[in-house]
Amino acid sequence: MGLGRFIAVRALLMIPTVLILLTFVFFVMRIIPGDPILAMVGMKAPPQRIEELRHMAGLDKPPYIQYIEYLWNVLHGDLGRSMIWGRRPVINEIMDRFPATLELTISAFTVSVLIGLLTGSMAALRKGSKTDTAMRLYGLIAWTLFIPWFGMMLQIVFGVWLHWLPIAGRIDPDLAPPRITGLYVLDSILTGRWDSLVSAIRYLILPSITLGVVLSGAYTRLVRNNLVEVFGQDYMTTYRAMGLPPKSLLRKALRNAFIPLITMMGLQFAILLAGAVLTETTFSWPGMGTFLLERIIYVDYTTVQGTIVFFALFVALINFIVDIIYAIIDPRVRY
Amino acid sequence: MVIGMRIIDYLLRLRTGLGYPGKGFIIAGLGILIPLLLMTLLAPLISPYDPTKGSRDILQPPSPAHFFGTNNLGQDLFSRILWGGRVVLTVVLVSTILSATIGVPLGLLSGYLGGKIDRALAMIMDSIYAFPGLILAIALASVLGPSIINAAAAIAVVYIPTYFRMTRGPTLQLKASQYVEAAIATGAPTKRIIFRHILPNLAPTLTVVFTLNTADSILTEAGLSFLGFVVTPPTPDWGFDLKAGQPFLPAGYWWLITFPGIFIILLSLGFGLLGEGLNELLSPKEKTI
Repeated sequence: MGLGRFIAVRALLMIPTVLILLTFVFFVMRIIPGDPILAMVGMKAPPQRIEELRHMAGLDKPPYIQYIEYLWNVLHGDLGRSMIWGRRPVINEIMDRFPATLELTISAFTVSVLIGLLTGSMAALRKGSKTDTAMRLYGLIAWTLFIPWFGMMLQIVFGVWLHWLPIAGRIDPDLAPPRITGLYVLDSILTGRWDSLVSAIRYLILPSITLGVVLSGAYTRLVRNNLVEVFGQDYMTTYRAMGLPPKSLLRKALRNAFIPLITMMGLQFAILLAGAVLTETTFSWPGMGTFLLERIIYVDYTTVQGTIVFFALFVALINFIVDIIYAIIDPRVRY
Repeated sequence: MVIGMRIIDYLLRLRTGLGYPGKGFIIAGLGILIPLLLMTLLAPLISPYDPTKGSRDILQPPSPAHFFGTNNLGQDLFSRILWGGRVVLTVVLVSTILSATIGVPLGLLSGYLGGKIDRALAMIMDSIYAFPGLILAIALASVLGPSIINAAAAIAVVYIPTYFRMTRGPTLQLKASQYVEAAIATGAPTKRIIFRHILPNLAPTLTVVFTLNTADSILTEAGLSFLGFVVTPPTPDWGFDLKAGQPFLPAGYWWLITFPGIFIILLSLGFGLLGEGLNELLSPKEKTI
């Protein structure tokens, strides 16, 4: 199969996946709870207000009509309108918040892969030694570090006690760069505002380390196991026999050990997003996670549902991209 | 059966000093879990104060009178942690049992019977599996409202695909094995094949999945609780207490967050270590699940 054809087939396969996800979200948000509005408002609200909210969310129609309308709208990129204040389109509200989450996840992802490569290589190079066991333990402990706790510990040490780094927010409010991409680091560079860049990075450090370290545990283990496997291959023995220094051996091995890592990244991405919700709450980071929780409190049902749909579509898209990258790197996958 | 026999086998080896694979991990895991479980079980006996009753001693640092200090309402944090463990364990156990009782039979039947339904189910489960677990749990918990039962239900839904996948995959393999084919050839009824020939062989894998999954669902429970979807004040719960301590962090009240968090991590780590050890003990080859 050529690459073009592979991409086309994968894209077609995305249709049932997306339909399943949308149906699932519909079930979770509307069918299982019986009356989501009542559950979100609680029993205290006057019945009139509840009726009004139900009407706004379109929940007063029969379920099958709700379902068709919902699918139709989502497939047209319409996630409905928010139920509070200006009643803005949900998709616009999401786009305001999404860059913050993207910036955090990219940066945390980089941290986790770097740590994973470092610790995993250390373990594989000294397989069976104390270092190996220590790294294995590191992987396990990193994975169980509860994100809010770890984040707050960093806040106490580096923010409250040492005063090195800020503990909440995304940038110094006076220094926000003009919006181009919404990624502060990138926007600061594009507009050449170096004071903004420094501020954005300073605010980014603790959240990225928090999320990055917790996610690195899975990579440590994966890099280690892949490397050990690659080191056992015949061609590595040949390289060793040829007298290649350990550094270039590791470089050659890492290139091959990287391939299985990429398939993991799709699944890891879901964990990354879930972790981002907790990280954002811990650091008052104005991203999708804090947005979702804020709107749950305001009983903004349409926005909550829209955000969940957005997360689902985003994950499906990332998995699609990961599949294609994998097919480019390893042509065998296409068959 | 298989597990029971293997464990007895390894216990015998332990007595003869031969050791067994995964020994360090299992001992470390049990070393963490047994005291923790005892603590929570015995909470009514050993808790020095009423966990929900405030006092005038607010925000006291750890001292002999209050091992872990007190919070802004003057509640004793040590007592809250003892009692909070019960909430965590209740939610986690209920949800794990729920998702296993749904996911395992579904995966077993789907994998064994095969066909279109199997393919459709596998696709549905894969889609849900790829969805960020905590976000799914938040969505469910938000429309169900905060309560211990609702949180357990939300977490159960998140992990059904895990059990389904972990059962279906090995079932497919076992179904293709020669001895199952032989059983089919001799005319053994499907029920007998599933219960006598397939399920017992899944037991080691499922034990490991169950243990590791518990470690994961502890973190999900803590996350949900931290976000306010499990308990309402004054009920003690580790994740919730962590959240309650957050506003006092800039003022340096470190004990309000340090202790609840450490217990979340210890409980999860205990199950994680035990799972690692059991994986080595019960899997013939060194493979990672």
